[in-house]
Amino acid sequence: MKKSILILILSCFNISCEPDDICLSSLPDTPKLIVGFFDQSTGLKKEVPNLKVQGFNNNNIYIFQTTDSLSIPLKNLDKITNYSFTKDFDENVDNSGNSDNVIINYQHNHMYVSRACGYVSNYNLDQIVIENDNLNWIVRTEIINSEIKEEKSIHVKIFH
Amino acid sequence: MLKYFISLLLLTNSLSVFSQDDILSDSIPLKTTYGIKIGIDLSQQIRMLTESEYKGLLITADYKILERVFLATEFGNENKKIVNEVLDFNTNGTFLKLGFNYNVYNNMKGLENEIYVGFRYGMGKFNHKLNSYTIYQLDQYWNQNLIDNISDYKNLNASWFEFVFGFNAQVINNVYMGLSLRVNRLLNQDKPENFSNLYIPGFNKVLENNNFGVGISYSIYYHIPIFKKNKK
Repeated sequence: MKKSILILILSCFNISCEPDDICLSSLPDTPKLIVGFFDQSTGLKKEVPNLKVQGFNNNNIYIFQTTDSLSIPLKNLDKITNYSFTKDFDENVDNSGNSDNVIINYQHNHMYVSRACGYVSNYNLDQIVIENDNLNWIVRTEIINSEIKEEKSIHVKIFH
Repeated sequence: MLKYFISLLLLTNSLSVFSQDDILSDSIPLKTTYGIKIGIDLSQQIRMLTESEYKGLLITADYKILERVFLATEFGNENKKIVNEVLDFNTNGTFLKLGFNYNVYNNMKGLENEIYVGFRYGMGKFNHKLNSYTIYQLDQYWNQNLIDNISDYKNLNASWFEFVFGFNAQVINNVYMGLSLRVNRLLNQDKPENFSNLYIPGFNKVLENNNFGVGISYSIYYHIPIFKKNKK
């Protein structure tokens, strides 16, 4: 009798140790905004040479590379995220390149996922504003998909 | 963890009660006492000592309706704060469970111990208060992942079924100690919008990928005899 009760108690321990408490990395996390760069006249993909992307009031450079697309995270507490996109940046020269201010306006929606992962944020783009500085390298922007729910395709096109 | 060891200790101690041999003269007709056992589940009290920010009270009672069959009930309330890496919330609520126990143990003459199997239908009414949560984002560039909005999820209901296995041993006259293990299956629940019932008072921790749960109770009872009946 004692033995069988003991086995029953032990089996309860086994049940109580469940995968519920681990956030599996296979689950998608909060999506980022995917930006693609296109030629203003041909409409084809076009790389931006030595592009530096840095958040406004953020001390860290988010990305610095020559690329035709990138994904950038949006803030979860604010409804505006501000980035500077600098073309032809040179690490060794202060204030090098042409810097444009990109202001992203959006609504966010926090959605429950699970006990272990918490919530993810989805966004709904309202508008993208390029601050006019008389020397903009960005000609115009176009929102392709205003709902940022996954990272499969481009949300915003930037023409230059 | 501690509560299991304490329970186990008391379980092994009280099992020895079964081996006691009361000497009864054959001339006295054997009688079964019918009555109500009222008790308190001490596992809640132990949890109040071992778990921070937990409050609970569980009253348990059973009434012998047949030689081996007991009508059983448990009711109480629980208040628990759960904090993990991504969520911080409080759950409080009341619950009621009703069901039967069937005593499978063949008592020696004059003893009234029980080893039983049984079931309960449980229902609970509860609230959650989400204090803060974290946005799951691997990229920490903005570091704006902790959200401090308080959300209330009120008047939620759930019902469940419990399979019970346990024993009650008479330690002194009319005082019983008992231990039971439960496997619960959630039947029905009001899912809060944009949140989940991760803990249901009376049911215990709820898993998100299946409907099963487990519980343990360690109770002390006082038996109020009502009438005696000759044993068949």
